[in-house]
Amino acid sequence: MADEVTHLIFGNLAILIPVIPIIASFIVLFLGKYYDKKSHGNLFALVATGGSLILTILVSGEIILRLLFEHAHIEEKIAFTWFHVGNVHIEFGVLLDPLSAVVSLLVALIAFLVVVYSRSYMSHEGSPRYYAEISMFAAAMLMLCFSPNFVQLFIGWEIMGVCSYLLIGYFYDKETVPEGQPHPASASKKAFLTTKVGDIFLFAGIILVYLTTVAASERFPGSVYKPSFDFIEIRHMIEAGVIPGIFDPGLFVFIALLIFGGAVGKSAQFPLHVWLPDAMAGPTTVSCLIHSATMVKAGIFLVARSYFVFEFADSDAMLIVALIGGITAIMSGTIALVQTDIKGILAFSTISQLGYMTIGLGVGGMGVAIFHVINHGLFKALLFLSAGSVIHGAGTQDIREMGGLRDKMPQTSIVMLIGSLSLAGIGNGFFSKDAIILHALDHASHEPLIYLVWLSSVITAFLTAFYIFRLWFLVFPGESRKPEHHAHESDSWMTRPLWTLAIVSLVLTGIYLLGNIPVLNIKLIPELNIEHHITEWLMGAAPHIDNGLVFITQLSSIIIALLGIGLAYLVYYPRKGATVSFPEDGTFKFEISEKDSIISVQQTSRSLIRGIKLTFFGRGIQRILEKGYYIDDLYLGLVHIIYEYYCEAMNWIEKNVFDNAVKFAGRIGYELCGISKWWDDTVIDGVVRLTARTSVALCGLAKATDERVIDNGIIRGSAKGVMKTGGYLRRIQTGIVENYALYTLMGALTIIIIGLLIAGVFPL
Amino acid sequence: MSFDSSIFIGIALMLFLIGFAGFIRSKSAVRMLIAIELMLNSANINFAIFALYNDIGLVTGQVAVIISIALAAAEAAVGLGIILSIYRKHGTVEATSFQSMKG
Repeated sequence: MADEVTHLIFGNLAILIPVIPIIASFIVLFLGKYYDKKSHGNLFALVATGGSLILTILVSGEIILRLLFEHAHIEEKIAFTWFHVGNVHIEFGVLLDPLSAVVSLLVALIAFLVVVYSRSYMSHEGSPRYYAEISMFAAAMLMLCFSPNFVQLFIGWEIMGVCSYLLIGYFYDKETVPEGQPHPASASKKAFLTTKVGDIFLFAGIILVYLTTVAASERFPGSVYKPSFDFIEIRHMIEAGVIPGIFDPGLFVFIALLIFGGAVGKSAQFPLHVWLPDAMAGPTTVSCLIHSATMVKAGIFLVARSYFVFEFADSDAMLIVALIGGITAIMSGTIALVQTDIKGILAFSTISQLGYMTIGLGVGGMGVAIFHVINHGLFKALLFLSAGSVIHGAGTQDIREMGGLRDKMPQTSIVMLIGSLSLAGIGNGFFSKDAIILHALDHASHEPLIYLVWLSSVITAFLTAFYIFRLWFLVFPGESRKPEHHAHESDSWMTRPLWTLAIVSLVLTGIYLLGNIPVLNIKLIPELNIEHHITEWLMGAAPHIDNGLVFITQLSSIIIALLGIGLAYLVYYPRKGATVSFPEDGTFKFEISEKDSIISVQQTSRSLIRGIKLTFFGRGIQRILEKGYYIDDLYLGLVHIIYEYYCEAMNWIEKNVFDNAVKFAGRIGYELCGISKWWDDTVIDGVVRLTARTSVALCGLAKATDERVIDNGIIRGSAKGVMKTGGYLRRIQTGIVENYALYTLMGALTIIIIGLLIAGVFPL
Repeated sequence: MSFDSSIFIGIALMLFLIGFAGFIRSKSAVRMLIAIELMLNSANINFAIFALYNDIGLVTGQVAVIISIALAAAEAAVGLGIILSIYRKHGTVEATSFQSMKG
């Protein structure tokens, strides 16, 4: 790699990439009602996301081509100072490096395709609000991708949180939802609050990183090291040994885990994954955007972006990251097995794949994680958009009510097959997933616990192949289980984005194959070995992995994927003469009219699985999986318990502490009264009586004066006066808030005028 | 400081007057809350602008703005909560329909 810094030709355009959709989102909000009325202002969003896609292709394309052919070291920051407080300059701008180039390309592409797709998909339910939010969502992710510092990243992060809230709750006024599905309004609330937990961790992490830079700048006053939020500056400080000279890596474990906490929330990792399955309450296009490009990838991107913190931190941080990834992958992979909602399967599959990416981050290959981000983004967008097409065509989300859609929706069925293969680990998904498994296995020799993670990733690969083909086999082949649904193929606004994604997916597979044929380990054109390149660009150098390990892993990956698909075929594929149906008891029936050899194998395996499912343990496991390991219920229970105990404790304090205090005070008062009563009765009364007698005499005198002068004159007179004044003044008290505000203003003005007079502004 | 701050003060004044007019004119409590936010923000602008006038790098003004933004957020939350409960109880948020303070 050459060391000289090259200036990018299109670099200055990069700032426009997030800006265009932001502007468009406001335009569409106000003008979407008037122009392009039929599709709710889709045109504005289309132009904006298309424009930013073209710019991204220019900017990122240049970066990638230069990386490929010039082996340049590209890291260019184009930024202006947004504001400065003290000696901290907060900048706003773009950071152009391989990471931002690769991820932004994916984001811009998928955002554009989703907007194209929405034109038809949301033609009935759309509104300018929808397109404004979608544009803002994409813009926020692009802003996050290009952000040169933690502050801008956090802004993009939070805008995305808000947009996801708005979009998940898009159908907030829906009156009824299908059973078992959350209401959009509550789903959006859940998503927002759950990710907010992660955001707080991230915020704390950012502040701590900043404080370390403050300490570094104080250690070396007058040096180039300034307190900063900037990625490059902080990385330089770590690399130059300034921060390591002051702080222990153990502290950075803490910081790294706080930052990772943000990623756990946003990327739906194990303890905070509960929001993502509910997020499917939004429109399918939104799910697509959330699952493939914007929201959940932000967490992985964040960790990749602040990888220098993780690298510097003790290896414990990485280990925890990898373990969380492993738990997430296998847990949601198993939950996906029992889902019956087409989007539910894809949602849990996303969580499981995000687990893979987190494993990738944890086992020391941020390159492979980003590589999987790209591939997963493509095929998951493809799968979600196809699922949208299926839902649009078939009018249901339940895969038990589908079946036989291949004849009615031939295009969707083919593209979804491509996506499913990719997810199962045959297409472009193979390369990245396999790389992650490989790195995990390689890393396990240093860290024995990683063997568990590796095991989880291998089992998840099998589960993935199984559940995604369960979906495909139940939806497309065979005969329709609900013939009254008249399914139809979607129009070209929907199929074209699908084909685009399918073709991109296939082309990428081809490129990867040309670069490196797995198992055989033949590199036809080494320039196209993208996996190796991405690792090299992002990490500096690709770690060397033993060839034997590569061979075994790749071979086993393919075998595992095929095994998964084969099992799904045996259990779920409705061959000619055999139908699958779903009776009420939660199992499903397999009826045959004519027999051939495969069908009898299918029947055997089917009855075997049915037998397992119907045992006590089988039913229990099924129930646990359907409930998502009871994590939702656990959280709900915890909140209830805390709430109840808190109330209980407060009640006890109220009853025992405060009440007794009041009673005690009362008792003291009573006793004091007793004393004073005695004093009163004996001493004062005597005095009083004496005085009274004297006064009675005086009173006789006074009474005469009183009745004549005071009663009639002063008291009645003044009372009347007060009544009259009150009668006038009560009109001021209108009870209307605005009037009081006006009086306040008048009062303020009076005070100001008096102040001015006293100050001598107006000469009197 | 070599910049003319009068324009910003003018903006702040305008914002305040707009907010005040909105507060006095509007019937709905939600609108009133929005108007209050406008007035608060005009005060914030003043804080930020005058804070630029000290050359020694004191950031008290900006800090005051941030505190007041946080306060405004809290206030909006409380206000909206009150409005929500009023709406649940009476089915309206027209401020004019609540005149129990009328003398």
